[in-house]
Formats: sequence, C-alpha cells, structure tokens
Amino acid sequence: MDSGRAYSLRLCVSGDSPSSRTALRNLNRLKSSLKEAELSVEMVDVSEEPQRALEADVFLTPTLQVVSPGPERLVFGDLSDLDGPMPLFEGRADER
Amino acid sequence: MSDERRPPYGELRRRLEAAESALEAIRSGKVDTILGDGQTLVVRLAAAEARERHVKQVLLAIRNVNQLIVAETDRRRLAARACETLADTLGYHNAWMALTDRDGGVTCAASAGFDGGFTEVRELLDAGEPPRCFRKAIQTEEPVVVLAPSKECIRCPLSAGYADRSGLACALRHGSRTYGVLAVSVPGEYASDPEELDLFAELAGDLGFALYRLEVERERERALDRLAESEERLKLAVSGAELGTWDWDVPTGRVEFNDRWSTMLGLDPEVTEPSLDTWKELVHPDDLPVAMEALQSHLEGETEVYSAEYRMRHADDGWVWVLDRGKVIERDRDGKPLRACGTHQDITGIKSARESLRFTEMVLSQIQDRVILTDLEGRITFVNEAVCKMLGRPRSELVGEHVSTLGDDPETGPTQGQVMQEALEEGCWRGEVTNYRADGTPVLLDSRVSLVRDREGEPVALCGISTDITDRKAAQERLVSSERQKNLILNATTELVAYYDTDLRVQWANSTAGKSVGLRPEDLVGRHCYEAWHDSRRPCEGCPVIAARDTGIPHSAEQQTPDGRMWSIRGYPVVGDSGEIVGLVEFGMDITEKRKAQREREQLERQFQRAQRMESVGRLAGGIAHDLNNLLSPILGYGEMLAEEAPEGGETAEKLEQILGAGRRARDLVQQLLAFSRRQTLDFRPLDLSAVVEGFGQLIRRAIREDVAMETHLHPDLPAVMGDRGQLEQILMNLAVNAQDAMPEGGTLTIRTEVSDLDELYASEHGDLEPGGYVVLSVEDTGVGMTAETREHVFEPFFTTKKEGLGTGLGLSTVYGIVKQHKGNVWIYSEPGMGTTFKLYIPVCAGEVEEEQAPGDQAAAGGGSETILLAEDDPQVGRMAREMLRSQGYTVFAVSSGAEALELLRGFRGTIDLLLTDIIMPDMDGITLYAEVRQIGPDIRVLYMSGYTRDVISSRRPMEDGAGFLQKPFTLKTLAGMVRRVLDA
Repeated sequence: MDSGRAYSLRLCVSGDSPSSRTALRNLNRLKSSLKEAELSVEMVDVSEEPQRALEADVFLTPTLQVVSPGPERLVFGDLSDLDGPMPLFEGRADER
Repeated sequence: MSDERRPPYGELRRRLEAAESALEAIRSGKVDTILGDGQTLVVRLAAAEARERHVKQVLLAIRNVNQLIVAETDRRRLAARACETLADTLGYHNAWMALTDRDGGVTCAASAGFDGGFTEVRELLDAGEPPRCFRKAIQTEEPVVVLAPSKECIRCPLSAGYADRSGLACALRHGSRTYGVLAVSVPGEYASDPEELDLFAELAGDLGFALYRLEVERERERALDRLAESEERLKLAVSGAELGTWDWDVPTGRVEFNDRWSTMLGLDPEVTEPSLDTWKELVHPDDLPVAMEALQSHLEGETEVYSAEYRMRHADDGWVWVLDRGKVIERDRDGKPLRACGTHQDITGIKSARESLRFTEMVLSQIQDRVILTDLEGRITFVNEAVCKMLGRPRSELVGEHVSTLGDDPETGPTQGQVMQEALEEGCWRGEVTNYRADGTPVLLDSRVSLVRDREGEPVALCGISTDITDRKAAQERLVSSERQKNLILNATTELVAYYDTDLRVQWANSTAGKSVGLRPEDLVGRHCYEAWHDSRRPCEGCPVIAARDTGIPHSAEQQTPDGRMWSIRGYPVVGDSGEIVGLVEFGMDITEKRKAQREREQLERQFQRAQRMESVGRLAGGIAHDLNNLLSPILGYGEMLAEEAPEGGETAEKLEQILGAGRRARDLVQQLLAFSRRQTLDFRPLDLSAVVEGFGQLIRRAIREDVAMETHLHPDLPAVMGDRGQLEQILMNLAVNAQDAMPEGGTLTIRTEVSDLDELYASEHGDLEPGGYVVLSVEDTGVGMTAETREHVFEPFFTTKKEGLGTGLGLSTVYGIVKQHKGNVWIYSEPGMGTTFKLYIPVCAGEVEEEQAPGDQAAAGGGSETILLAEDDPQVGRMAREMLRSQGYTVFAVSSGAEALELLRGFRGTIDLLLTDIIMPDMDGITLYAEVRQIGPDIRVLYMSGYTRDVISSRRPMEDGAGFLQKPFTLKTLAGMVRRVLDA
C-alpha cells in the first residue's frame, strides 16, 4: 500500500451500537498501523443525522466510505476483517 | 425507461459488489442498523438479534449445566465442569466459582475462560481474601451486578480482563445453607436486563440445589461408611478376641454356646450338648470347685461380675486355660437369677506369655550384663542385679531416678541426653559411657541402647545393656602404651632392629632400619629381608639370621650391602611359648666407618713399624759399618804395606793382593752401608731437582736397555731443595736400574718432578715428615710390580729379589738412606703386575739455586771425542761412569778388571787416549794396570778414581806425577772436567 498518501474517509455509525463501536476501534487500529499514510476520518452518527448518511448512499451501519481519492468505495460491517480495507486501498492504486 | 441513460457496466458491477458486500456484512451480524430508503425510519436489527442469540446461549448453558448436575457426583468436579460449560456455550464470556464450607471458608475454586488469569484470584481465595463481588454476593439474596469492573474493581486481578463487559455474581444457596458463589461476565448492555438477571439467578439456584444434593448424598454415604466401619470393628474385635459365648437359662439349666465356645475345646459345635452339665464335665476336676464357688457367689449377688480362670479339657490336646467372665442379666422379683450371659477366652497363650515374661525377668536379673530399662524421658523403670552390684546401690534407690544421675560427664563421653536422642531417632545407640559407683569410682561401660516399641510400633521404652570394660580398656591402654614404649626404645638406638617371621618377611622394623634404605619403617613390613636390604631375590649366603632360625641359637656376621656399607649383623631366634621358633630378630650396626678407620689405623701402624725397623736396621748397619770401617782400615793399610814389601810377581804378593781385593770390596760395602745409615758427609747446596734430572737423564738413558722407553715430565719452576747433587744422581741411577730390572720384557720408565704441599694430617699419615712444601721426584716403571711382602722389606739392606750375585741388595737401601739424610721420605706404590712407582719427597728449602753450568755448556767445556778405556770392578760405578763419559761424546770401552783391560788393549787396533781406572780392584790395582798399559800404549794418559782420598792412596801407593785423581763419588761435572783436564794436559 502506498504510504505517505492522504486519504479522506467517512465512517457512518449508529450511536454506541456494538458493531459501530467495533468498527471505530478497528479503524483506529488500522490508522495506527498505517503511520505514513495520512487518514482523515469524518464520523457520521446516523441516529443523529440519518439524512446525511442517506445522501451519501449509506444505508447501513457501520459503513466506511472512502471519499478521496476517488472513485468512492464502501466497506460494510464492523471492519473486523482487517484484510477488507487494505485491498480497498490497494485496488485503488491499481486503477490509477 | 428507455429514455433513461443506462449506467455504464463498470458502475453496475460496482453497485452489485457493494450490495453483495452489504448483504454479507448483514448476514455475519457485523451491522447495527439499516436505514430506510427515503424515510427517517431506523431499524436496529443487529442488537435485537444479538440479544436473542445471547439469551439462547445462556439458556443453552443452563441446560447443559443441569445435565451436568444430574450426572456429576463430586462437587469439585461439578464446579470445574460447570465453569467450563458456561464459558464454552458463549452465553457468558467466562465464569468462576468458589465453594465454601459451613463456616464460609473457601474450600475449592474453579474457573474457565480466563486463560490462566485466574491464578491470582485463587490465591486470594485460598488466603481468605475473596474479591468484593464474592463478599457482596454472600451477603445478599439477589445477583450482584458490577457494570464496569475495570473501573469499579481496580484491585481485582480479573478486572483488567473484563474489558467493557460487566460482571454478575450470585451466591449458590439451598435453604439456609450457602454453598459458594458463581461469577460470570456478560456484555455490558445486558448486565442490567431483568431477564438476564433472572436467568443468572436461576442458574445459581440450580447449582445451589445440586450442591445441596451432593452434600446430602455425601453425608449419607459417610454415615453408611461409619456404620459399616463400626460393624466391621465389632466383628473384628469379637473374632480377633476369639471369644466363646454362653447364654444360660438358669432355671432350666440350658446353655446356648456359640461355635467358638465349642471349637475352643476342639468340639464339633453341631453336637455340643447345650447344657450346664456339658460345661461341668469339661472343667478340670481340680479347678471346678473354685469356678463353682465364684459362680455361686455371683448368682447370689455377692459379686458384680463373675470371673474365673480354670482349665478345660480339649478334645485332642490336653488342657486349655479359660478366662470365664459373665453376668446375670435377668432376675425374678425375688432376685433369683433367671438368665446369665458370658464369654470364654482362651488364655493358654497369655498364661504362657506371663510365664515367659517371668522367665525373661528372671534371666535379665541374673545375667552378667547390666540391663537398665527407662521410659522415653530417661527415668529408670528397671535395673537388674548386675547393675545394683556394679554401682553398689540398691534397686529401690535406682528405680525412678533419671539415667543421667548414673554418670553424665561430657568429658568422658556423650551425655545421656545425647545417647537417648540418638536412640530415639535411630532406634539404637552403641558406644562407651562412664558411670559412677556409690563410692565415686568410675566404671567404663560398652553400652548398647535400644528403643523398645510396642506391637503397634509406638516407642515405649529404652533398654540399655552394658558390659563393664574398665579392665579391658585399661589393658588395652597398657598395651598401646607398652607398644609405644617399645617403639620409642627401639627407635632410639642407631642400630638397625627388625623382626621377621620365619619366612624372613619383615614384621616390624625400627626407624634406623627404614632410614638405611630410605623408606618409612612401615613400608618395609611384608617384604623379605634380603629384598629390603640386599635388593636380592634369594636369601643371602652366610646370613646370621637364617643361621639363627636354622640352629635356634644366635649368630653374628659381617655383611656388605649393595651400597657398599659394612654391617655387623646379629640374628636371634624368637622362641614361642611351646618352644618353637616363631620369629627372628635382627640387630645390625653400620660399621663402615669403623672398618675404614680401623684399616687406616692398621696402615699407619704398619708404616710406623716399618720406619722403626728401618731406623733400627739403619742404626745397626751404621754401627757395624763404622766398626768394620775402622777394622778394615788397618787390614788394608798393613796389607798394602806387606804387598809393597813382598817380592813382585811372587806367590806372597799374589795372595796379599787377594786379601786386599776382598778387603776393598768389604770397604765398598761399608761405604754403602754408611750411606744407608746416613753417616756420609754430604755436600748440601740448594738445587733444582728438575735440572738435576735433566742433566743426568741422558746418562740414565744410556745406562738402561734399549727396550725400555724413557719419559721425563719435569716441573719447569721447581722451588729449590737442599741436596747433594752427586748423591741425588746416584739415587736416580739406582732407581732407574731397579726399574729396568723390573721390566725384563721392556716397558716405559717415567721420571717426574712436581711440587706438593703436605698438610699436617697428610704429613703425619706418611710417616715422620714435617708438614710443608716438598718437591716430589717420582720414578715409575711398567714392570712386574711388587707384593706387599716385598714392599715391606725392599729398603732393608741385603734384601734382594734378584738372583744371587746379580745385586748387592744395597741399591734401594742406599736410596732410602740418602733420602732420609735429605730429611725426605720415600714411598712405594706398587702391586704385582701393575708396575712400581717410587716417590721421593724432599723438603723445599729457602735458598736460591746456585747458577751452574747447563748440561750443554758442560758438554762444550768438558766433552770430547777421544777414546777412553774404563776399568772399574763395581758394576754400578762402572756403568755410571761409562754413561757419563759417553754423554760427553767420548768413546768408552768399559771393563771390570785389570786383566780384561789389558786383554782388550792388546787386541785393539785403534787409539786409546785415556785410561780411567779404579785404583783398588781385586785382581790388579789401577796403578799396576796403568804401568802395564803404558807398555802397550805409551801415549795413553791416566785418570785414577777411588773412594779414598789421594793422600791415603799416595801414602800407600805412589802415583805417577801428573796422574789425574778423581775422588769417588763424583758428579758428571767433576768427572767430565777432570777427564778433559787430563786429556788436555
């Protein structure tokens, strides 16, 4: 995976639900393992801003949205499978 | 629809993939919420599902635990497996359980799902410090909820592992009894759910009931066990005691016996008549009255219990001793006995045991060894007679005392406390202890203390058995001390002392014996004496020890060991009680030094004796010579006068000449004797002996045979000696001739001069010499040598080994006399076949050597080539003169008489220049000879020589004017000078 690149991410959760909480923890772990890459994460709580999630095509929580660099990609679930996000980033690298 | 622009394929595929991925996330329960399309409806799917799943899991866990409860019979195992089941079914993340006894103490703990993290809690539980949730649960009926253990229970070792889960704890109860506590962890969101808590309480209740059931079961089993145990014990007791029983219906006389009652007497129980008469018939007739009396008095109520000992007949084998005990158990209103029961015990064995105990006691009290029994604290419970006798104290005084009062002195051995300690720990102790008699005298004991155990193996007493070894010990010490004394004595002597067995093997040796071969005495033990001392494999010849063994009487001998030392050995037989030889003692003294000193002393003695003898012989010879000389003077004087007067050529003249010849020879002998007895007048001057030898050496060379080689080794820088040159030359000639004669087959003659300083010791060892500097002149041959006998006498006058007529026996005597007159000494070193060396020691003198003409100068001054006729009847003088002349270059014809001279002259064709003649010769005197010679050769000149002075000669027999005269003895220098002067005149 590219290091030193900047990624803009959005994590949609629903309050303090278990899977959402797990997803947040897993994302934080991912961030700490990718020290060189610059990840900026925007949190969206659907229990407070459901509309905003829907506008972003997110219809279930937890969902991780890769906003930039484009095109957008979605990862569903609690991110407990660490392999998930990584091919996501790598796949993007292939497409360039 | 057709107007709508279809999305590109890639976009469709992406959406499909996203949809599949979303579905997968939903299926796997990793999703919390699904948002309604276009609405604000929020469906919380996952939480509900998870909650339902959790409840299912808890229910499953409870079911499994209940199955376990039915099957499990052990509370520990139940606890362990319940925890495992609860954690396995995932309803609870983990679980632990602690079981308590009635007092609330934790008896065991089990856990599951902590990955080993429970250890610390287990330790706390064991230490009686249970966690807070445990304590709270015990105090309440309801489950205890700890919502966030990681925050609330910081001290609990488990709290860190709980993460965001909550803890539940509940006491396990049934009725009023609490059996322990169960604690589990659940996701935090369920912890406060009433349904959750109900389920947990139900689980705890089930487990409580199960534990109650197990406890009841266990107690029942225990009660059963106790019952069975007590029954068993009773049965064992009865059968172990082998009691016979009887049950007597007094009014009817019927008695029920058990089987053992019959078998005890060798009877068949089946046919034993159950009546009192059966018993009466079997009791020994002698014992029956006593037994009946005892029974009667009990029946009448006089005794509480009936008891009697008596003999009963055994069916096969004599009599059985029976202890009969019984009691009336039923009486009628009047107190008459109705029923009595009792037992028979076979006490035959006990009886004999009592007998044997009495016997043991009897033996103990009478045996000679001292026997003391004490209790475990050391208090005396029994002492036998021997102890009382030994200590002089009565038994009554000793029993009850503590053993330490018998003697407890740490100086003389271990204390009684130490002895008892070891006996108690090891079961026995053995050693020496000292006890004290009533009068205070000590008794040394060899003591064995044993721990006595009863049948169950419990220690009950200590038994000490002791033997009085005071005398034995004293004897032993005496023996050791006497052994030590023996060693001290035998090691003090410088003599070798050794004791052998009869095979000559060393049994004991003293330190001198060891030192003699460089070993420690004990290392010699076991070796054969001949090996130890003589390094030999066989016994030595002539060994006095062997002789002592073989003859039974002491022997002694001298023996030499391989190191060269001489030993005086004495061997003694050691005779045993029954007269046989049991060993051998050798005493040996090193006499090496003694022998050496003895030899030296003997040698000195011999030398002294020889010197004495020579001294006396010399005095005798000198005296005789002097007197003879005085006698010879008138004989010769008057004889010559008569000869003058007698008519020449006549018979008388001839006879007179014979007399005179003999007289002159006698006179020569006397001269030599005078030399030997040191009565000659010598002309002493400081001389260099090397120069003397060098000057005279050529003469000697000519005088000796050709097959004798001559070597000289002369010290170049000799100190001067005071000497008479002519006499010293005479000595050299005599010794050289002697050496030549000793070498008939030829050999080497060596003459040397050297310097020697004789110290006091050496000088005294070599006879009467003053210590100081000496010049040594040695004459050495390689000839036949001499025996000790010859050496002893060689300097004595007229001693000769030569054939008669070949020597006068005065040559070496002359040497001896002249050397002595020089204050010197002569030694001979000679062995048969080894040649002979004469060593002449002449003392160094203070003076300077006078300058003399060197031999070469002499030749130049006094030599010549003329021909000389030499007539001399003395062969020694003749030979010397001849060689002296030849050394000066002259041609010499030597003859030993006047007749020979004339004969030679008549037959000689050449020219004779000079006649050198002795005046006094047997057949014809020199003057007469010269007269004859002149008849033949008128030009021949003459030089006379004689031992007499010219005046004496002239007074008897006038010489021609101008005739030369040479006084004997002469030196080379004077001879050469005189010859030259006569020839040149």
